Amino acid sequence: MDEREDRWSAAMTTARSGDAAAYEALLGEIAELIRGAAARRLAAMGLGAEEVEDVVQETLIALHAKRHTWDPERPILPWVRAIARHKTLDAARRLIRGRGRLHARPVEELAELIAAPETAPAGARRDAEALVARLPARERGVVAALAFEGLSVAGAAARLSIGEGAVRVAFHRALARLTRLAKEPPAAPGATTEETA
Amino acid sequence: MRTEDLIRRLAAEPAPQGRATPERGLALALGAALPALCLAVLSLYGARADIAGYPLTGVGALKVFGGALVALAAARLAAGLARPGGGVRGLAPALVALGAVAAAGVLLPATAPVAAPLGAAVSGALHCVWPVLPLAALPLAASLAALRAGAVTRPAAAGAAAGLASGGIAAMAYALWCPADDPLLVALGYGGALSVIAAAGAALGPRALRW
Repeated sequence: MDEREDRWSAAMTTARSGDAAAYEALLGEIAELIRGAAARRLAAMGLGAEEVEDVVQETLIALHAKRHTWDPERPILPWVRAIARHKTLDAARRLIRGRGRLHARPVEELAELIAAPETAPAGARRDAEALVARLPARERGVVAALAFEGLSVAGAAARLSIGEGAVRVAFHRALARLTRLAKEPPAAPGATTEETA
Repeated sequence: MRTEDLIRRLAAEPAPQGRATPERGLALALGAALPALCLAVLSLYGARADIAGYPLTGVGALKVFGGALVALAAARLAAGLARPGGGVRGLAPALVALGAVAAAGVLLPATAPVAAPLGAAVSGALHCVWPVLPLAALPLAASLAALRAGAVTRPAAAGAAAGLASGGIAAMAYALWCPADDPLLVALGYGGALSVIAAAGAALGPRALRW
């Protein structure tokens, strides 16, 4: 049996009673396990190693949010592995859908892409804002903060009181959604889009 | 952000206070749906004239206790699926419950003067049992919402289990009115309705249970 099992179970139990230090140490070890599993899975699916750390952070956030679903009567390792597997496959699907390329670039660089219409004709900027207005609230806030107001990831995280990982995740999701929305026919007749293909 | 910083920040968050477990959430969702659906059936259709002793007759028991058995077993299965790495705990009892209810439907002696031939049973079943489908929508929505508090890693399976549990609840409520008394018809009609609702749950699961 894995020697981590008892140690992690005990640490999670202590963490539940409010021991932040035990929880921090546990999350550090869990991050290692997730990193290994995510690297193997993404490589097997032909995705870049540069995504791994994003997936690790996203998985940690999910595991943290769902930590009440671990039943102390049951082993903790299968619980961690199942979450890591689920979130990695989730991320991999998203990456493959987004063709990987868009997501392989740092958030700051992508934010400039969205912000670029500022130098483009006013109509294009309006179109971009109309598309952004159709995003879910959290993604809209993140895009507005990063792209339209030029805040850093840390700045956006502080503004929206969410973690920086969550900002990155929301931003990537927003990009994927915007790509989809931009491909749809324009809602109002006569509206211009930049889609030429 | 570096992963170590993220970890430090997560660890600094206050521990959650008495989070709802998927088990409690499901019990609440289905438990609250049952009286609501009974009210809906009574106000839309009314009750059977012989409702007082009905649950103790063969077919009445099949609908009421069979529905309860299916709902309990499927809810247990769904709750297990809301805990990552838990496997499919409760699959065997759920299958046994379904099998027992189905067998009871087929083996119960017909109370109708002439047991309907299969074709008539099928069309009669479709005609009389369909209200179970819209009735199940409420518990299905409530139980999917309850499952969102968990962390479902097999959303189609969990959705199907939630659908089955919802169908069981809807069948219990509809038994207040349902005039069908032929066991074969009841087994086919309710079995068909449960399958449709389970399929709807399986289709909704992947979308509704993302996290």
